[in-house]
Amino acid sequence: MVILITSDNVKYVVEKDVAELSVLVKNMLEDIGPSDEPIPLHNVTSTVFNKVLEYCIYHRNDPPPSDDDEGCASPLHKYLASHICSEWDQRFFDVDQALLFDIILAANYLDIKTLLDDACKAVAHLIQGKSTEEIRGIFNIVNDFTPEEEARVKKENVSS
Amino acid sequence: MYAWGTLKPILTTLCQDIIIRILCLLPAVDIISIRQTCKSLHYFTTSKIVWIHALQKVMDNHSISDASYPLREMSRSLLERIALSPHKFMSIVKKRDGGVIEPRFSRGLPRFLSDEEKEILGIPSVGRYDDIFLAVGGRFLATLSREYHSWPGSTLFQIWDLGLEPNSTIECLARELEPWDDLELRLFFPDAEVKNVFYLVSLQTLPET
Repeated sequence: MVILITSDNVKYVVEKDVAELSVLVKNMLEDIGPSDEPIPLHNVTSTVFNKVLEYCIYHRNDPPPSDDDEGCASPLHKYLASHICSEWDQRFFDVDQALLFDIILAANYLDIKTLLDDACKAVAHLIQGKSTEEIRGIFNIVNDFTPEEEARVKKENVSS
Repeated sequence: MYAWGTLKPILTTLCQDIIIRILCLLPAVDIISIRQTCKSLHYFTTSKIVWIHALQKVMDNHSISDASYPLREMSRSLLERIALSPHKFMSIVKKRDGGVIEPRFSRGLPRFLSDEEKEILGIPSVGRYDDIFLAVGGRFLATLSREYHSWPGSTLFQIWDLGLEPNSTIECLARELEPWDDLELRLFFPDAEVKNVFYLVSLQTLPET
């Protein structure tokens, strides 16, 4: 068992194989050696960590991700990997944007590659097929182009 | 890291690595939509790695061999143009409205042979182009030609690199004269792993006996 403490001082007792899905935690455990000392997670609150933990417990037996982003996976394999998301994952990422972005930041900090990849896919999914105006609306993006710049960008990027 | 309350979080508050990571997951058309939202996202869409992934997706979806596009060596604007080309082509087809689609560019296949090639092949000219086969991806072309008068009974196969730009010089990669007639091109594709290796399948119709 590994003891983890989130930034808001909530203590978690987690099984070692689950905790070690985080490369950050794994490296810290290797550095301190056998010890009962709790590991502080400075950048993660308990709200976000609950989600992260839920993901790690569900995915604890998944095969480890390959280091190579492009790898030698077949096109079909890559296609499936990028398009098929389990029902569980879909439900898991069906959260408000603030939490989704927090999960991304936590996955990045804790260095959990599969969670980071899946959460980024969830954001990409929100964007796909949307117009510029719709994307601005979804993510509350302020259009900071001057009218001249906007006209130029539009002209340079006529996609149809 | 972002404003709470009534304001929704803004995509641009994520760090640069993560924004690039998300953009790398998107098809070319969506990257263009994102580009027009605001200045900072416009900036991120000009990253070459984003377009390498976008073109890779096009290649995966259409089974285009890796040999067709040397992704790492290509400029960002070239990657962008090619990644968007299926979409642009489909818009042209949809807008056609029953009319004829005029070619945007045209180039001719060279028809002359150097003295050395004439000597090696033993024929005085290229002959008539009878059959062509464009490999998926649009860069490599195989042609089959015959000449019933000056070199009857043989077929000339040629493999061409059309280049990556609409005005690239067309380069002949290989020529081979086969001592048979009545051949048709059936299949042509570049090897995915080995540069300048191509597979060409032709079919001969034998006269009925």
